[in-house]
Amino acid sequence: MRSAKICMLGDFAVGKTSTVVRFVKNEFSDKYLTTVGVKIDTKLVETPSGPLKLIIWDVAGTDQLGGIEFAYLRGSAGYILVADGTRKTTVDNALRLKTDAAARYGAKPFVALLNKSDLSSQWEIEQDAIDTSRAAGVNWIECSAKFGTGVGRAIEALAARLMEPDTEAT
Amino acid sequence: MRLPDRIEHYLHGRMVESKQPFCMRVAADHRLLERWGAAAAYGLDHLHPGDDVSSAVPFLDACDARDAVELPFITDAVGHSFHAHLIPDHNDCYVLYLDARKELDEKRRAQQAANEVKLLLERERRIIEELVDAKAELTVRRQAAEAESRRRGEYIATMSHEFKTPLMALLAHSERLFDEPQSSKESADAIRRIAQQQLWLVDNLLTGARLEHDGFAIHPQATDLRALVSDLCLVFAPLAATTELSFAAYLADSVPEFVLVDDLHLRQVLINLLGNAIKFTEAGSVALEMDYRDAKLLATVSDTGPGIAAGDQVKLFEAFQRGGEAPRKAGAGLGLSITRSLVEAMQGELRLDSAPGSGTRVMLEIAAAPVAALADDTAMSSTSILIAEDDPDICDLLGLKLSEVGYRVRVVHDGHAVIEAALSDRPGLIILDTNMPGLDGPTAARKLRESGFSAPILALSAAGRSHDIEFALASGCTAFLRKPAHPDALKRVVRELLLKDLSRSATLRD
Repeated sequence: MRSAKICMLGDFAVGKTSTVVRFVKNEFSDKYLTTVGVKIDTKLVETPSGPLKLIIWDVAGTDQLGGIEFAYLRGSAGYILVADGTRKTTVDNALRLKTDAAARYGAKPFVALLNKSDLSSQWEIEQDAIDTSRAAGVNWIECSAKFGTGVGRAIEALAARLMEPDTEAT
Repeated sequence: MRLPDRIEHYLHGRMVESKQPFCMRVAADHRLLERWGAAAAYGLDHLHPGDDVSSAVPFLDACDARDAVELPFITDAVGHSFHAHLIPDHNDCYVLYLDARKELDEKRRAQQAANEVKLLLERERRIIEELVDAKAELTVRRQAAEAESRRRGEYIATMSHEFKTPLMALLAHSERLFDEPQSSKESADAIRRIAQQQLWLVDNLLTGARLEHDGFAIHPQATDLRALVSDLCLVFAPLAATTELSFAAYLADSVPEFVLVDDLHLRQVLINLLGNAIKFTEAGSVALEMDYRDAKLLATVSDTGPGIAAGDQVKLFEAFQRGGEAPRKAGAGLGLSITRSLVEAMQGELRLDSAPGSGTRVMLEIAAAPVAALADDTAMSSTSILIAEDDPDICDLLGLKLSEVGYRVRVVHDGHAVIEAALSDRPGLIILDTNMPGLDGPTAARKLRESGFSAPILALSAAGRSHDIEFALASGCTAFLRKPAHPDALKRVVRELLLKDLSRSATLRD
């Protein structure tokens, strides 16, 4: 069976771990528990090209990549960028992490999740910013790890992309 | 210094006890070659030489590096936390696990506290931004409120002036009537002129207030344009004469006798335009011309006054504005603003043609469908009219003016009396004050209609808001006239209502 390593990238407290837990175990907790280092989890995903075992590296939140983070990212076939829709700085930070990772390991397939769509009253991201980002090639998908909306479909889309012939699933 | 074997052994024991080291030698094809140490502490005791360990050790990619690689703080899917060290050795790779649970807990506590502080700071930043925005909005609102307050203050000051000065002139002329009887004609003219101007000012103020409150409602009715022009001449010719201006009104033959327009609004527009022309023209003439084309009434008010510069024409129709070069004259600057609103409400157009030194022409164009000619006056010369009004002075005035025309007039003073009198005398028309003691006008009108009374009822009221008019009409009144109605206007409306009623009765008989 083919497998692929993917890394969660994003600022702290944007909901990377909650997104993985929702995707892998279909669970959610409101309690914020910071990630230290990296958590590795796996999930078997069905794609149009067959099953793929995703090895998901949930890297501790950061706004810039250092030596340790680059060591974690080594061998990753793709990324899941995560930003928090209620904190506009996390969008810029996620885009910078993506750029830095590409500079070290080359461009990889990715999906960009704009999490916490359930907190619409605190939403800070304006449609103009999303449109500008889309024009630059980053298609933000609004999702809610709390309610599960948007999460599975986005990661499965990335898995399908990784199964295409020119990508790095092994 | 070389440590004694005993000390080395002790240290080794303590390290093994606290770090629970586990080591594997893995071949390039990810097969396990050999293992050493606490495999069970990491759930890897099921691995044996020859097994493919790539699934159990998902970070063997790091073995490709030239030098040793450390991957600190890895937590696997079942919760084992460790530091992984990958040390290449020829074609193989040593993979070393060291327990990290205790360090992880300590580091997580510190990191969690730091992150929570950062989140609080972000929230604080956001609240401060919202407060700054709210403060800016409050400042804008406060400035708007202050500007409005200043505007109202200026408005009250202007209005006080506009009322006080003419009232003082009225007083002076009244005293002169007593003191110098030989000047009675001159003083009476002045009193009439000043009172007329004050009446227009009050009309414009009330219209402006209605516009601000609920907009204009248009009530088109059959209007006798010749009577309207005649009324205007009666008012403006004497006014023009006091300043030695010539005043003339022309009606083209094409103007129908009756057209369908809002009589009161059209009258107010023409009064404002003519009043302005006379006010600002010191010598020469003022003229009103009426023409009729394509079911539209075309009225032009022209004067030989100072004219208006192009730059001033734009703001001329705004409230409280006057032409910049024109001599300072009495007036609140409300007339033209209200005129424009009235014309817009009637879906008409107003055009201005003026230049300094060349006088001014204001052209009005409104839709005015022709109404078929009505019956002759002779048929109603002795019609009886019932007046219901609680103010005896107004009763006397109305009675006098209507009797002059030949109507037979009876007067009652409350709502119950009007019902009784109307049902016994069957008058040709009732003039009904809307606000009377006992039974108000609209209620009396409704009861009369319920009793089968079918002649016209003219409501007369000081209240002139659209819903007052609509309520009166809905209660059975035929038309509405605002107080104080000019006697000529009252006579004209009475005549129109009687003519229409005669025409209706004739149609029913046919």
